[in-house]
Amino acid sequence: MLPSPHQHPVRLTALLATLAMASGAAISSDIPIATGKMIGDTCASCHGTRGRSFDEYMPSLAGINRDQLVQAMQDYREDRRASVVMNRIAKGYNDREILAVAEYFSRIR
Amino acid sequence: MHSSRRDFLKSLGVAGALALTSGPALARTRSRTAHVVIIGGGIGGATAAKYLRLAAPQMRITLVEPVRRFITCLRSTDVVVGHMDLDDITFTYDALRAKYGIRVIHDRAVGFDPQKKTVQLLEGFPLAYDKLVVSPGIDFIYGDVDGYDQEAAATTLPHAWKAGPQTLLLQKQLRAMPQGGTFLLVAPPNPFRCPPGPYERASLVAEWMIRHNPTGKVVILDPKDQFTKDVPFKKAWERLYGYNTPQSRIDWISASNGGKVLKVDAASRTVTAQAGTFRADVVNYIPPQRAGTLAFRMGLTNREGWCPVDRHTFESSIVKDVHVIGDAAVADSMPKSGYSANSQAKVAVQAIADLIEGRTPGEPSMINVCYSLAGEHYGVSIADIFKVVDNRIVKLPASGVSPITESPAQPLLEAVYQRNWHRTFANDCFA
Repeated sequence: MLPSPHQHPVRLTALLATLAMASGAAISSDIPIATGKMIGDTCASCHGTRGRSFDEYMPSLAGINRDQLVQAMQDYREDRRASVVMNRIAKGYNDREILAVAEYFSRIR
Repeated sequence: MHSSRRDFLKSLGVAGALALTSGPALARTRSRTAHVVIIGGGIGGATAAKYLRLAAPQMRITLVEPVRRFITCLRSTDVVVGHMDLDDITFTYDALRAKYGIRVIHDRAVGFDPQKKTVQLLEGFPLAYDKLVVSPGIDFIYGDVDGYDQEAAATTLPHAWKAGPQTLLLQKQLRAMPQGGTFLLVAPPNPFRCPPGPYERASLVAEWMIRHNPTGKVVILDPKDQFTKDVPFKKAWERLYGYNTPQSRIDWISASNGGKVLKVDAASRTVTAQAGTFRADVVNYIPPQRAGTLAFRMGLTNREGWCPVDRHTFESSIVKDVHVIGDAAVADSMPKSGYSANSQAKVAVQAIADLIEGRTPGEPSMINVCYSLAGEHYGVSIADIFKVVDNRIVKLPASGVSPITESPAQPLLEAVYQRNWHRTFANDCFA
């Protein structure tokens, strides 16, 4: 019926490790986080089911480049990039969650 | 391979063949035979049906909802002031049927046997379920104030807090108001559906008056001293309606200033509050609220009149295999909003799909983003992310309400986003 994007846990773990080292941030990996799909479903209420949005102001997230979405979310969170609501929303997510949701949307075709 | 075995496997198809050998596929057969019944086709129930299908392509899913065309409370005040028509906020179940293979039954749930796991319908055959989702919404508490009851609400003092006939009644009353008249809004005590809703309505009615009744006035009687987004709302009222000046079009009388209502005379549209007696031309009385009546009949409510749930799965703390979502559920710091109901539905059905397939439900993540209009081109918003900690839904501290800035773009864009959001959001629930 509808394609089901799959998570790739091994690759994700490697990426997380790389990210943690690169940013030097204290990211505790033993605290459980929601899956990328679970977080992505919260984005869907504004950005469309599975990140497919078709109106003037809400950008689609389906198929977005993973690193671009990670960068955008971090920039919103740190107030390096101006927005109407995304600055506030991004503050609710840590780096692991941002990476998980970016992985999820980047895999939707 | 023996030919009869090969033919047998072929007849089962790929999934069936895998089911003979592997665990996850075995579980998939469980989800194929499982039947999930969803009662209530509002924001929560419709989202649950659609997202359960996305999580479990094979599952049998039945949605029970009496009405064929659902009108969202969201944006219903835009109908009161004529920005939108009722049709703009009316949605059908066609896509849930055709696109997602949901069996939608327009009937009323009238009975429930949690031991036998069946739901009785008013007209149709009983439904047997493996898991039941109930999204009963709210109903009103009448009788706590002398002179206001269901009859008064339906005829003279509409709450218009469920979109439909009362929305149009309030619209008609507003248009018929004499010049220089008073629109009195009685705000409800916490907790209630759509916490910013009364203040958005007061704002849009005040704006309507600038054009259509320039000497008219809005008075809010409130049993509270604070309300959601009150800082950006009051700033908007200052900018748009002269709030805090003698010419203000909006007068907000808080609990400390005597905003609590003591009695009502419906015939003369007179409301007596602690602050004094108010004679109005339109009275929009929004009563106190509790979980929808269905939740009471099913024995899902606590002493306060709401439905306690496990915060990870939204399974009722009272009845096993029944999940309660939306306004009726006890969800701690999450507001009773359509956005919350949509977010809770996604968590609940993912948990149901996991439980049916023998997996432990994962970590929930929930959100509420709410845009309100303080004027047609002036939006204010709140955005919060929620996690579950020690079986409580906790709001993460960093997010929150619109900042007050001197940038005219912020409130203007919030108003634009709001209109776009309603379309996208309705599609996420119904299409």
